[in-house]
Amino acid sequence: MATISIAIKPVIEAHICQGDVFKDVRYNYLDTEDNESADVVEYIFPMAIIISQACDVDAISKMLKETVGKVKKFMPSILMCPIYDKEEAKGLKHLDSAFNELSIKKSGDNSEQLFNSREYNVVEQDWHYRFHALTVGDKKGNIILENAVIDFKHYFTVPPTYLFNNREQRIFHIDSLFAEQITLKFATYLSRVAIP
Amino acid sequence: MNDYSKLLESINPAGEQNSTGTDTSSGHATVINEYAGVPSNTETDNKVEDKKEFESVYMAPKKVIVKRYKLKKL
Repeated sequence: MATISIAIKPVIEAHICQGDVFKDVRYNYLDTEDNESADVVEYIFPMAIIISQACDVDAISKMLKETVGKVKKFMPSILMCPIYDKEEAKGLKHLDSAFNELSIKKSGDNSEQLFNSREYNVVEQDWHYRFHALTVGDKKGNIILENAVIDFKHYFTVPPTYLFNNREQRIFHIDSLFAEQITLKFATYLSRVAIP
Repeated sequence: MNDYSKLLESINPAGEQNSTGTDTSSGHATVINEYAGVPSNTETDNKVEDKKEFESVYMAPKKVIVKRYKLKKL
């Protein structure tokens, strides 16, 4: 059984923080350009969680709110990871739009899965290096989100101003103990040594 | 030096609602109960509205949407 992360509902004015889950997170970048035009590619992640350390996010959030701060506390971007529906990710359907837009042809057969049942058992025991099974509930044990996975491989960054200015898109905040667990697992994922 | 701030003017505004294509009849629906916000003593400077319930049901999202915009330089 996966860890049940405890969530709280912050008010809109609350600082952004590690463990905040936002909806419809836009990540975009300048893809190509010439003298007359530029192509911008935009990903819209329906749900994503802040992975950056709490102290860092809190400092930049306060800096944005108060419009004053120390240079050494400044951070140009905040790290996030997307949250996917478990079955959709398993069937490798959740990124069809990306492959289409980037003109990348899928290789492999249609029966390929991101993880099989045995591997997902490892995910649910919090032992998988790449995925974190996300089950969220309140302190009373009521489940508010399940059948979801965080994919550490798909990390991306957004400007702190974007999250600060779109706090109405924040749907809940995962309590610091559980948010730290997720960030620690992400750090472990990044520092893994893959032996071919 | 290019002024990328002008290039991005054509991007849809951040407040636009996104259709996740969530299929509530797919059988993948999550079990959701209304949640009453409980203050966490680990939080600082964050206020929680007591008895505030989550206004919406949280479904794990189905797909990532990727769009490409061609912006004309001014």
